[in-house]
Amino acid sequence: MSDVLPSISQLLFVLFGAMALGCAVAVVAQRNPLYSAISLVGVFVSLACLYLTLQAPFIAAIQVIVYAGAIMVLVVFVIMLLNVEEEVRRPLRLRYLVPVGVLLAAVLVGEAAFMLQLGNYAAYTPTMPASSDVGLTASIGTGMFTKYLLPFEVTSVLILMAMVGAITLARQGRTPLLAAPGNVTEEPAALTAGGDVLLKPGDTAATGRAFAREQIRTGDAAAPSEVSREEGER
Amino acid sequence: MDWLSNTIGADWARALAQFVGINVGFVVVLMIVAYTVLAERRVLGFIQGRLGPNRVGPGGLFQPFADLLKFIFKEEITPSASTRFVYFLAPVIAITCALMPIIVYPFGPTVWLPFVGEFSLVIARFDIALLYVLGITSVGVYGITLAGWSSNSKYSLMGSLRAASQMISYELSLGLSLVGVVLMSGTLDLYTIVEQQGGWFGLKWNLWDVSRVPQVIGFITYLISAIAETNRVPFDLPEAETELVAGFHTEYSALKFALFFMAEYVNMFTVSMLATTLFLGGWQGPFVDVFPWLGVVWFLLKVTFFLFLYIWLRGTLPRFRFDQLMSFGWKFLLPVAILNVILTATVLYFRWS
Amino acid sequence: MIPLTWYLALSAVLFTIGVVGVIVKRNAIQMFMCIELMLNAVNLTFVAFSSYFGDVTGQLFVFIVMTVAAAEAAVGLGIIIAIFRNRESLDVDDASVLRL
Repeated sequence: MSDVLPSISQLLFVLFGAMALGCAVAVVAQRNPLYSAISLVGVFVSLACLYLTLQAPFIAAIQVIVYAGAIMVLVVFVIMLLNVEEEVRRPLRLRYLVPVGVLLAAVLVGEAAFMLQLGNYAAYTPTMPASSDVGLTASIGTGMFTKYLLPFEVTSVLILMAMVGAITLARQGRTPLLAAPGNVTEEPAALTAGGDVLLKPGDTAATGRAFAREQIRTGDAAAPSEVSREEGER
Repeated sequence: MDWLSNTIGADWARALAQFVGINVGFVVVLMIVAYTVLAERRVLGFIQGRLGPNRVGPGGLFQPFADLLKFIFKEEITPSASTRFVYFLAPVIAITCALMPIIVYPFGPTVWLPFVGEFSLVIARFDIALLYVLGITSVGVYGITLAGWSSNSKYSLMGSLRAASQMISYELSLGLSLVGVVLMSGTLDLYTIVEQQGGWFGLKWNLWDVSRVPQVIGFITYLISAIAETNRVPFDLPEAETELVAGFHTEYSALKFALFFMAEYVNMFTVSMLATTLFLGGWQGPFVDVFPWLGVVWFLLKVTFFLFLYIWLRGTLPRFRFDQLMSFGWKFLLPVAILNVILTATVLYFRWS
Repeated sequence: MIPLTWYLALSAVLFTIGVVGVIVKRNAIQMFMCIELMLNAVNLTFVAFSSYFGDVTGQLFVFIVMTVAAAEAAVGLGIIIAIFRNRESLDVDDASVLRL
């Protein structure tokens, strides 16, 4: 049994690594941004599983909670709210760059393979300890609140800045009032000599009133005092 | 585990025991969910002064099977203008993320099983169990969001965006209300948290444990957040029939709708189990040390109490409007949860220093 | 056992795919997602080193990187929404001049 078990960890690595690579290629290759987002969630989940094979369970859980559960939900919301269309394929204008790119990529891959195969790294590659306490919540908590307390506090200020920034960016100026009871003012519409409703310049601040006046003008509604005044006059 | 361990190796024996446990847990959860649906209809009927379904079998006990047969044989209607892959993926995500957390809940103390020996009745015991549950709940939002989008209908989209924003808003207070318990117990492992609630004749639960910190505020905050997370009354505007046809599962029929339906009830069951584990002492109760299997009975009794509470609330309370719901979650519940964390930490600091 | 270089190679390949995505894509949200992919590749490197050398610093740094990525996501998507409101298009080629 002992020679079967190491290959199980290799099998798990190959499985999750292949999932991560496949989903990453899908992120880049998909034209529909929603499918890209779903593939990216797949990348995050497979990376969380890789962190589990690296004996870092806390980071794996935080990866799922923060990245897959919060950031990508935000991205999916934005895609749905903005109704983002698929990318339209435009023709390449700099066609001569494609063989140059392929050549340079081949050079890069060749260099990397050369370095990995012929370099002597035995002194620098440790083996993973069979069971380590480094990834447990207790050790991360201890490190964060003793040795790395300052980055932790700075990070909390950073999040506060991000919240303020996001709310400021997403604000749409003064939100218009709804024409709901309590928003429409009670004073009657001013009339010109011909009986039309007078909209004063700068009246948009009380949008409810302007809305009510528009309705009176187009004839969808009758101002209560106007009706009584006309009947009184006649 | 002795006989099995000697035969096929300790790791494989544990894996086999966990596999059997997963299957048993899966079947038990589905059975409980099926009968929760029936119980809801009967209890709602009694609250509303009528009988629920009581014709199929004695007292209506075979009604879930009749419902299942109906769902299987209904026609599968797929809207023509929908994105097919996401339309099929959404209920899969919903039901998977609803069923995954059941492996970390301790159903009972260490009991003696034949063939296996001593076995503590929790399928998987690892030290980030609570974070795992929170993470899976966060991913479960995708099922609802993608369902509404892929149905390509305005009712579904509105319902799903409302449900998703409600869920992510109440996830915050859900997580924070559990921090008080974690501070008291010093661990995220659910089995250890339940074990620490033994004593006082099995009644030293986290809810009224005055030797540490009684987590009353945390319990109430958790309960309200959990009801909002599972989209139940009074927070069920996204799927209310009078408001949005049926919300995000408007365009789903037959078996896919059954998956969403089941996912909601499994979510209810899961949050009830989390509430009993963290606040009500899990399987702790009187006489558990004498009869270990009595722990399972206590656990199921407490979970049943929570399910009954859900159904009771459904029959009694009206519905929140959506903006009232969101302002309640952000402006009231989140500060209360933070207050609970601060209070718990302060009391623990003064007790332990 | 798995040598450390396997994790580093996987991280490098993920990073490269992210870089290719940022260069090739024109949609602002898809470019943003490829940037997140690059950040995650770096996170994998950090966690691999932290696990193999037994030092918790790597995982703490991953925690900080995740927090920074969350903050960047919030602000970046706010900016994208603001640009979309003004230009009605998420194509970064259309946003290449300062004038609307």
